[in-house]
Amino acid sequence: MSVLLEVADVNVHFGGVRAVDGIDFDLETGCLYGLVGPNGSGKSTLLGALSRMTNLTSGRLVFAGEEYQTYSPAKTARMGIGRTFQAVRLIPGLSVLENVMLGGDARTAGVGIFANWLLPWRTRNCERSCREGAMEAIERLELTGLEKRTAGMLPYGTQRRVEIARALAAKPDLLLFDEPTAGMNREERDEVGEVMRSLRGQGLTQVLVEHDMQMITEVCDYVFVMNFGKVIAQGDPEAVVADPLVQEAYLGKRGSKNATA
Amino acid sequence: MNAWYSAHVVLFQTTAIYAVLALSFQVVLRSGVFSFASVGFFGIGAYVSANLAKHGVSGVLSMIIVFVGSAIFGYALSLPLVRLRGLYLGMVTFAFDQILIVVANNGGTYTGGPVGLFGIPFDVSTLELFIVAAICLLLVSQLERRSIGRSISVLRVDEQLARSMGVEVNRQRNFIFALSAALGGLAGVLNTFNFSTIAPGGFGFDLIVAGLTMAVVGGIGSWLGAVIGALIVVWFPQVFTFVGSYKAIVYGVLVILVVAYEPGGVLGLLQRGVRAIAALIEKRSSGGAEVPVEEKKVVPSVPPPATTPQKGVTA
Repeated sequence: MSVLLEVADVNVHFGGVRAVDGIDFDLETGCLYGLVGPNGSGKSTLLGALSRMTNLTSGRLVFAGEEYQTYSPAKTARMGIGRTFQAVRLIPGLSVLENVMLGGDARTAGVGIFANWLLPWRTRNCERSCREGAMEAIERLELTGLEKRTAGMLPYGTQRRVEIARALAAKPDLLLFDEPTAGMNREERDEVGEVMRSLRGQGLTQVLVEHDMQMITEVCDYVFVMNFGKVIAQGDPEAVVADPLVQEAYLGKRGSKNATA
Repeated sequence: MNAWYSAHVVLFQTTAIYAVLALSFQVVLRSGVFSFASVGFFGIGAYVSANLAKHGVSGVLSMIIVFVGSAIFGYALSLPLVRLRGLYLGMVTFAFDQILIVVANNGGTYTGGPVGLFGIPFDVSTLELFIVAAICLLLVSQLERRSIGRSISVLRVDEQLARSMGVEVNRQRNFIFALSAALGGLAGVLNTFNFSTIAPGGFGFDLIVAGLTMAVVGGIGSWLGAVIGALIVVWFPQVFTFVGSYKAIVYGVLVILVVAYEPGGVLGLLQRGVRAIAALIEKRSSGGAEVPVEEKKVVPSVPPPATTPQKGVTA
């Protein structure tokens, strides 16, 4: 399989804190990767670095043969790297459809502000394909019937699914999920997991940051475990979960509590 | 009617001019850019067009010169300002307005000093004012459609999200700032042409208050809000004459009330009302039979949302 994303010796340091400390890995096209680790281990910072929201201290990022560590976050998004956020970030006043279409705009934003503003004939086709893409994503996340509802009025779990639909509407080649199922119940989690698996079936490369080990082992093909900004283990989900080093990192808190008690 | 119109023609003219100024404020506020620079550009437009008129430059040409010139100046000004947010940007743009007043007071023959310029040889018909205002409305309304409309909405609410959606936030802010400057300048030109006078007092703190009131009370969500705001600010003192010189206090209270209770402004209030009435009519006209059918149609296709609230609590 071909390599879609190459992460080469990436460092993100905040003052003396090495949030991401020399990460090195390749992501292959069409795989579903899990990224786990205790709180503060650098998962979200790494995701921020990959989507260019967080500046790299050093290192190289190559996406589909294009080096992009100096690109703006917006350009990175337009290149085909989509992401979701840990907290729900919808535009509460807009409808579900408009919120999802916002994702589709990522690809048309390059037309230029002036054309978008005053040349409606240039954007007509973009608008149509954007709407179609949005409807597709809405269907996929089982949000049909809610298109016209105001996003801010929906229940939490539904809002989270709108967010995933929005990320999908951008038709990314690489999708980074930052705890997409936080605050969801088991049933909803399973649904989201199913959506991710079906996307994987279509060849979409995904990275899932998640605390729920059950979901990780059920959904992912390959797992990276981070601690203190470094990858401490990687490989097949089942094997990684069984790794004593990983158990120590993950359950270290409980272990130390027991030790002091 | 005719007598009433000719008695109030100044108010109609002021409405058109203020609508353009209100648009200048609304454009920036809708993008989440807290700027008072519109008033400064109003002053620039007013003085530049007065000087152009003295040299016999035609009205249309001087409008174009000011519009384009203000846009370029506004764009240049936005380059260092684009990183500033909220209150800080507000303070800098307020200072910009104050600097221009000092310049106007000391500008010699170009500005006429504290007395200002008067008897500017130009005249513009009420119809022409409304045509220009209509063109501006058309320009601004196009910013609320399709992808650019959505990208501006997201810009105000969540900048980082906008970035992740492929919006070049700073470039968009620069553009919005330039457009706002152009509209502010144009409002100044119209003001000079219509009243054939301009003095430093004409674009001072009062105008900032009036501009902000129009945009905020009308509703920053849409160009329609700017129109409603202009109508309120221009006609309110005329209708409620007893307010008299306490006008500024009333504006201030209005802004506070709107910000606290109806951030969508009068426009938001109207939209909610229309939606409520539409829902009521739909209920009435569909009768008892059709409603459950429609609900049934929705429920099976989306089982999760119906069950989420309870489960969300237990999860």
